[in-house]
Amino acid sequence: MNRDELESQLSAMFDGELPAAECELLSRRIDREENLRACWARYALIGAAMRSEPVATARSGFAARVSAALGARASAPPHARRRQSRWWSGALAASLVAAVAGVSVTMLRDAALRQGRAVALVPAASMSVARVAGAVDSAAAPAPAADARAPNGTGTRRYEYVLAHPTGRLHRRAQRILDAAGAP
Amino acid sequence: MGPDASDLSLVRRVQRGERGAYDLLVLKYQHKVVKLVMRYLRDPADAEDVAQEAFIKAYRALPQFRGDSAFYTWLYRIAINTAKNALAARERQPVSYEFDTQQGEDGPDMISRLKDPETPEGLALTEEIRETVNAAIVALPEDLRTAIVLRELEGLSYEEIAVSMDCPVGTVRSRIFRAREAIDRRLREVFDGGLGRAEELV
Repeated sequence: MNRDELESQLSAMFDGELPAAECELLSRRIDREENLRACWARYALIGAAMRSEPVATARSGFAARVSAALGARASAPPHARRRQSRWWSGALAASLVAAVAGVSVTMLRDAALRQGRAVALVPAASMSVARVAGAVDSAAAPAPAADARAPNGTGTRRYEYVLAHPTGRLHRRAQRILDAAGAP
Repeated sequence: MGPDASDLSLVRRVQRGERGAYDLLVLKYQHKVVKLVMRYLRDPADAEDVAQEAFIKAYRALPQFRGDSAFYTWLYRIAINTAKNALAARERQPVSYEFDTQQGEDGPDMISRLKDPETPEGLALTEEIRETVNAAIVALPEDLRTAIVLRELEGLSYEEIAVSMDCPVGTVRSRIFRAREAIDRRLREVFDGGLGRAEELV
């Protein structure tokens, strides 16, 4: 392809009038050839001058600096970042499921303790989640009775507290879990 | 396809992951955005830094761009907000004075001054670009002049120009290119004739 034909394509592409397939081929060439990029920039300047738009001739290498900055900041292409955010949404959902499971296991353990059954140890992480869940629930519930306030906040004490305050969400959830487990 | 639609086609390519298409949008709007930012930050070097930041923000926000407004309108808002934030941040900082030990006694080199739009030389360059372009348009054969004016000033698509000029679309494409080529030749003379190489516009 001679130079005239190439620049004629560039002019049409500048106007968005080049067919997509030709655009793709020409884009690869623009990526490689600085003089085509310079020509593109001058086409923009010509249009701006014709419309008497205010312009300032940016110092040379401006576009290259933007491009380098985008690369240096490890900017994944926008579409890739969207996928990344979906991945994080999935991870967040999985954490919430794990937290709910932690609460459920803790409540089952408390129920089993009341009945004198032997239960497996609950992982410490689940206990912490359960404590947080309990605290949130107590904030929504009426003020606890003095006898239900355990100084060290053990699971059994909390269970007693939950049973003593039948309006809390945790109570309803505990009741459902106990029903499902066949507890009296 | 009008000017907004041609930007939109570049935007869609960026959204599909083609970084090169964004470089073309930067090349297309760099001079306008730098000028816009200079309304807030007088120092050209600062204005370029802020303009660069605006382009980076725009790139990151591009997945949310739906094309309800023209790309430049959207970019304009980002550039204005970035400039206002930079100005506010600057007003919170004490003024610092730096002495550039690398700079000679004669001050910044001539090319930098010429490219600096707020210096008298920079303003003269901008004015010279405008005069050169206008003179080149006046000197064009009528069919080329009509085609480029309908495209750049009226924003008509090739098909609309073809209808208006009663000729095939291929002829319109050729006329617009030849008009640009003739104007560009004159413009390159301005840059190559002592005001810096034309490639430095990139």
